[in-house]
Amino acid sequence: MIEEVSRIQAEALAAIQAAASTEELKALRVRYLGKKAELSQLLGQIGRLPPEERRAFGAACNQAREAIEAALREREEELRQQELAARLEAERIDVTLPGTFMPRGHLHVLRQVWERFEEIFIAMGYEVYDGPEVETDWYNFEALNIPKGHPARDAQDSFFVSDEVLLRTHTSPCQIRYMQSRAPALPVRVIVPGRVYRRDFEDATHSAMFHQVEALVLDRGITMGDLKGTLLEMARALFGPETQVRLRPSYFPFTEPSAEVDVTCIFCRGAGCRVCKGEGWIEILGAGMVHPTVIRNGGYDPEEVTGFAFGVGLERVAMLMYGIEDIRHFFNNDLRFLRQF
Amino acid sequence: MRVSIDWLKEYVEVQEEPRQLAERLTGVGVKVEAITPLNQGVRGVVVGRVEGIERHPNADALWVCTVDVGRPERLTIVTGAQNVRAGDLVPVAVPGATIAGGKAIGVAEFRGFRSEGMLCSPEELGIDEGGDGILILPPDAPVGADAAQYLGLDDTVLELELTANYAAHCQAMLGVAQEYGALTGQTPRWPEPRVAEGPDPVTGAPDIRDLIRIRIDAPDLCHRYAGRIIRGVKVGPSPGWLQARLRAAGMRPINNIVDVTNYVMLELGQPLHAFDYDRIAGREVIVRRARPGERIVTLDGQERVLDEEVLVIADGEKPQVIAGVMGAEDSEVRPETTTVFLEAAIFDGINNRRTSRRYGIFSEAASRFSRGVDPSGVIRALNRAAELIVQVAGGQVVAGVIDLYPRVAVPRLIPVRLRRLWTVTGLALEERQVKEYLERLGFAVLPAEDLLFTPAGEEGAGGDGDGAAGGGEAGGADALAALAERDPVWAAMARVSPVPADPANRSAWLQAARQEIARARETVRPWAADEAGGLGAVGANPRLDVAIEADIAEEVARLHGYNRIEATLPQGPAVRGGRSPQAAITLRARRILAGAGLVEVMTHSLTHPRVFDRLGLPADSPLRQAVTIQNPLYEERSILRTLLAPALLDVAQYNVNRQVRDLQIFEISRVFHPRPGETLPREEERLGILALGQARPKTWDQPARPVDFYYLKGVVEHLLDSLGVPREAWRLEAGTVPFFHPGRTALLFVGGEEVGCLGELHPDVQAAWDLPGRAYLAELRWAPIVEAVTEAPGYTPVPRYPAVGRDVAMVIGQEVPAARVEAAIRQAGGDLLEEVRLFDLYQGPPVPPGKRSLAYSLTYRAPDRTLTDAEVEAVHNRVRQALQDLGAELRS
Repeated sequence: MIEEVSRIQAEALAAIQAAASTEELKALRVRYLGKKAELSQLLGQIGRLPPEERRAFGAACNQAREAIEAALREREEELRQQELAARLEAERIDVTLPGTFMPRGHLHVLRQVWERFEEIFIAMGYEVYDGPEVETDWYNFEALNIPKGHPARDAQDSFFVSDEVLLRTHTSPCQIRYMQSRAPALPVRVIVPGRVYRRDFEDATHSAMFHQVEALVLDRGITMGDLKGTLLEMARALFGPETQVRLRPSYFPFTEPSAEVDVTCIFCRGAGCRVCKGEGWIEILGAGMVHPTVIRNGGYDPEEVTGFAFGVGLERVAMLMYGIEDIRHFFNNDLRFLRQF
Repeated sequence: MRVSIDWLKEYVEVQEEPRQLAERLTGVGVKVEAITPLNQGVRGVVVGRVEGIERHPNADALWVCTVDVGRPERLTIVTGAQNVRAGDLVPVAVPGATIAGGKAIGVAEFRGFRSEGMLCSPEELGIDEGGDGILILPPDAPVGADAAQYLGLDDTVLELELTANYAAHCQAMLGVAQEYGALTGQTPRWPEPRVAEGPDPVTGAPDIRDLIRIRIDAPDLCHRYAGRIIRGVKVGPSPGWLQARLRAAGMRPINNIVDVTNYVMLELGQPLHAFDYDRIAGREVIVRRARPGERIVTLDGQERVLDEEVLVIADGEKPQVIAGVMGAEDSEVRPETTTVFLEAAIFDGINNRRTSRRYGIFSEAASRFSRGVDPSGVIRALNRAAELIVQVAGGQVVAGVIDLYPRVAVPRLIPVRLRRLWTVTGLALEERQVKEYLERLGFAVLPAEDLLFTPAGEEGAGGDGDGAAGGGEAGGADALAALAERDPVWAAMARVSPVPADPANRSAWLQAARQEIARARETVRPWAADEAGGLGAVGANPRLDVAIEADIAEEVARLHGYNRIEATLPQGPAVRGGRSPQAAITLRARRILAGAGLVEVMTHSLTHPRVFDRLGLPADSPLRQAVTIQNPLYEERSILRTLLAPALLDVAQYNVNRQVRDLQIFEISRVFHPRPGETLPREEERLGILALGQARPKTWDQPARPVDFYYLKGVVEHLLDSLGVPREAWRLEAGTVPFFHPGRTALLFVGGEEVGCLGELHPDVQAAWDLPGRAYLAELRWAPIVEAVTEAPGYTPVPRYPAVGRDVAMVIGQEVPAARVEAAIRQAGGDLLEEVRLFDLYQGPPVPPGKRSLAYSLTYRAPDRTLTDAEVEAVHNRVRQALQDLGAELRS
């Protein structure tokens, strides 16, 4: 009978090896290991054997059973892997088809530059402030040391609402408004981004409306070196860590000393190119030490504190950063333009 | 201002190349905008004399000239110009020469005549001087000489772009020389005019006062007026050197008298005016305000109507000059003029500027007066002009100067603290350096002690009344000499700028100087205690733009070099920066909207008054009350907008015209509303949203999503939810707004307050902007939304027990708004109802007309236990009952 067990085992192992699907394996399991299987039936006849042979026969049966069991498991895993591979292969898709469309919005390019300015200065402890766009002559001019008849009024040709009210020509009136709201607290560190208006005919470089960022710092012992250092920080944050700044003497009624500020040309990195007319420098803003009259008008004592201020045109900076050649792009709001940023 | 380098060399040594010179001037703030070589390629052109001229036998328009160019042989030259006469001196491009632009001139044939070269027009020499014909040279042009050299073309001009402060003194060659001298350590050579005076050769009168009377009726507008008379001049063309100087400066030579006045103006910065003395009616000059309706024909041939705002120089009959702006033809120097009355005056800058702008006359004189001319230089300029007139036009200067000086100017005395200069500039300069820089710029610098110390006899002087001392000072020179001897401050005041010679003016000068000194000493007194040792004092400057300590700081810093200021950062306690909470919310809102696929636009605040009609606003709409610009440049930028909608519609139209038809845009920006009784309008931030076309195109995996009311509403809801405006803080209601579709518009209420509307644009308005398809628009007041944002809304525990879902479908009348259905569900569902979501909506067969099918998915949950089927069934039945009560026919 032991020979019979060996035969069955051999037959079963061969059949398992030959099975082509897990379904087939299930049938083989029943056939060779089920209650009605030959092996089970043989084992049921164990009583017919002489007692001394029974132990050996039982062991042989169990061994065969285990061998079949192992073969079934092994073959089953093989087949499962094969079937999974086949299914995954069949599920292959075209990954190059476009992904589901998600509408992408955009912040206006000027807003992005505006926010950059805010981030740079907030990190240096500046507050962000704004005031009215329609201003009194006093805030826009008088308080900033630009009395009536001052030639500087020519350079800032204004839209008037009445004799004493106009659209602000710069964000500088907010120097006064902010100081008045803070005095006598120190230090003053504020930036004012906002809209300004000039009575200019519109062309590629002029717009009746544009944006400025004003900065004002006031404290005991503020120097022109602090102005230069702050401008350097700003320029590097905007245009890259290698950027240098250059101050040239200039004139603004509300600062003294005053400076025109150049940065390393961002197109040629200072080597000289068409944009900077071979100079290696590009003028970006006007700055200076706050005029004592302005400090006084803001409610502080110019004997006690000094300060610096500057104002930079957002459009100018954006035009430089992105190589935009016409200021009108910003306000035409052509979506083919806005979607590039 | 155009600065000839050649001319500059008369006052200072210039070794550098033009480019370096320009860089150095720019470095101290005198910005050189362009460097222009005057010679545009003129080579080998010589001065020739036309000895004979005949009409070309074969061509009426041509002339054949015989020309002496200083060679043994004469040249035959054909010209088409009609202004050449025998005897004229002309520039001749002999064969082999080149003219402006580099064109070579050779021998050419003109209808049978060989032309050995060419007579040159100004244009052919690169001289910008209008007019037709050949350039006729002055009589002093040497035949055979190089014409380019004679005309001063071998020169380079620096074009300055002057800021308002430097414009005052750098619109003069000597001002520029002073700046360059300060850079290079040179004192410029000032001209020292010598005037040979004598009695009037015509009448024998000993003094100018016998020939003319001058009166200033408006001392507020004319601060100084001085005059001289020159007899027996011969008016004619100026010599070559003078013409060359004027041309280099961009001015056209007129005649020798006018040219001298212009030359002196360019040299010293003091505008002058020359009158034909014989045409001054009544032999009197009155400086006064014009009478209303008075008229003057200015030199440009225009008749100008005057009024009291205009200062004129009048004779006994009528205005002859708009003071400091432009003269009249009447009294202008002309060829037959023999006697010149020469004026040098100081006019009020503000009034001058106003007048020149008003008449649109931007003359060289006005450009200087409007920026300020140094009153102390008047007499020097007058004498310089008199000297030069005699030199170039002959004549005799009548003895004496009339000098009316109602607003006597004294140098400013500016006390300066060294430590303060350090603070402001960030430069730790020694007193010695500061002194040197300032002296190079023409200031006189005094040591501190000189100001701190008040010499005996000066106490209490100054300020007002100057009685006793004033009497003594009438003596003039002696009084000043005595003061200067015992007080170095007086010496400095006298040294730095000329003291008037006229006894009355001198006395006034002394009095003003005394006040200035007293004021300075008063300023210094309180400083002495803590600033001693660091105190320097600067006196007496000729620069009108330097008035306070900070101005001195700039002077020192710019000469030392801004580039030598070390970059530092403000010291002091760390302070918290940041945006206001409102601005931070607005920033977040912009990002939310962009994240939802919208594009931010920035539109003009200024708009066209007709937008209200285009929107179809009723005549009495308060939105028509706009802030109006008094001096607009374009009508479409002549009022401030009162709402955002038109600008967004403009953006839509602009894009549609460029085939961009799908746009979802937004802007958060200001509108402006006048406030009766208030100076300034109310400025209100608004959110505007406009949607047109498709929010999502058809793609291979999704259908297109055209925008509609619900898209717009979704954007608004998403924004409010994302910002943290609680649902219970706002609601939408159907409403009507003039330019919106009456059936497709909702009003948004936040905190019970109406903040704006959203909806479909009215078809008429859509047509007015020529938009394809339907446009959806929202315009919301922004502040109430920001106010309603709840930054920290508190916390509800995450559910621990399972939820149970139930659906309910119904057919219900279309007139029942979805909001009512939902409200009924929520009310009946009570606390156990967690979520209600409309998942299906259907109209049309088989649903009966006037009805629609709605299907909701409901979620039930209790926070503290697992709901039993029985509990859910009970509450769901209440919901079903509520819906039936509302008239719904339940389908499930």
